[in-house]
Amino acid sequence: MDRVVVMSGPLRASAHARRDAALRRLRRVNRVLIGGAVAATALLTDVTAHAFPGHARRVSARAPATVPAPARAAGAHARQHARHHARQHRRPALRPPASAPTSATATATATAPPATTTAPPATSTTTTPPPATTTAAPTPQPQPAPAPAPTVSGGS
Amino acid sequence: MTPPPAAPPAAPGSTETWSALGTTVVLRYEGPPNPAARAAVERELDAIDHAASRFRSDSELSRLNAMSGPGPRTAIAGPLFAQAVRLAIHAADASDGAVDPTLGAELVALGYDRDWHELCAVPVAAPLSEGGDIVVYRSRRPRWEEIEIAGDPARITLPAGVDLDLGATAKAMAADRAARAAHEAAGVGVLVSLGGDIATHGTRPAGGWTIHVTDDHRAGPDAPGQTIAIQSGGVATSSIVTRRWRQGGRAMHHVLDPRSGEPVRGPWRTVSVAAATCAEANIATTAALVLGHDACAWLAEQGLPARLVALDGSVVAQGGWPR
Repeated sequence: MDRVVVMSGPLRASAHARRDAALRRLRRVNRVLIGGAVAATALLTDVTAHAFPGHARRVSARAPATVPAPARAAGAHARQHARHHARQHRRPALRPPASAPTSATATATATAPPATTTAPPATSTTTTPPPATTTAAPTPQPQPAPAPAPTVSGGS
Repeated sequence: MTPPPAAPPAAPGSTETWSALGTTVVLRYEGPPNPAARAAVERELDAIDHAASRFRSDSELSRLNAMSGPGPRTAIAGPLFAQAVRLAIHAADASDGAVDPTLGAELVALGYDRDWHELCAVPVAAPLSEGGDIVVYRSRRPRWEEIEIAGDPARITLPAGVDLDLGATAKAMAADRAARAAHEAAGVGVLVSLGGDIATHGTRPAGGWTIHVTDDHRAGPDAPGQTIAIQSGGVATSSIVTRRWRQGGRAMHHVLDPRSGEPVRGPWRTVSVAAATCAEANIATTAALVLGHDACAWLAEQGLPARLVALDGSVVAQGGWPR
């Protein structure tokens, strides 16, 4: 035989109150969990974006004309990978001078003629001939021109 | 009859000095004065000023930075501005971001929003720590890889919130271009110095071009430093003791660390580098100041002759730089 429990009015009201309180707590927990999940997703996205910079670059300014079509069509991930690979194996990007600088004290006595680096030597406009002597009388010998002061390279 | 006085010895070359781009221009070439050489240099400097100056509102760079809107900004660039932007991106790429062209907003925020001569300058001789230590308070995300440039004529797109500053590369590029233009105009070997960024082109004098490297290009050839000779290419020097100003009680300087957007605080005060061009030398000097303790290894990897002066004045010469 079934047992029938009949709650009086105050007792029923107390059970309802406990149930409502539990539901409210559950709602709060749900909100915290959802908010936390959203925040964690955002944080993870940000960290990932910073860990792999360059994902948004669509055109390589360094060599825009030499990128083959398949590479251009590849996705951001492929470009990241290619870029990382290039960084691992690339050659120096800046070119050294044709010859290293020398101490000026060592070169001040050099007597070698000027050398051409990028263009043939100029002819009529490059040199001023030394003054010619017009008389047979002894004249002071022209002194070698003083070396010009060096050009200054410093912070600006 | 008294013989005429002897003519003075032939001059080994000509040197002209004037001001442009907010700094000192030195033009040196073989032979007697030649107006065509200076005219060629002035044309190049005027062109780069109109293309890439951050201090004139009508330059292509300023107009691109000033474009409003919430999203990326796009403009068609002239050939010279496009070349300057491409070089700036190459500089960032070659230095793994140490030389960053997207620091325009940070420089303005630090007070470098006008021509250098209008700022409250801190004397070169002042201690580096004057005005209190510079505090790095944030981490900055590099944005230079988001710059897009393609097509002919070039179409440049800046990401939202990014302002260009080409100060680390445009002046050196102008020196290279000016030296070439002067050489082509005058037909002689030419050296051009723009505030200490030195480019050469054409035949060299016997013994090479003599250059004195020091902290400040305005100090003159007698300042503490070293005198060298180069046969070709360029030499650049970057320093944190020059171009300093004060803001908020702090002494600032113009070499910023892209990782923080704040003035560099590293072990070096001045770095000089020789390279195939002045632009490449200047990329290397700026990168070395930013890279700090990693600079020597990076410069060695590039194979560049370099002279690094530490904060205490000690000197490191490497890569074939004379000792």
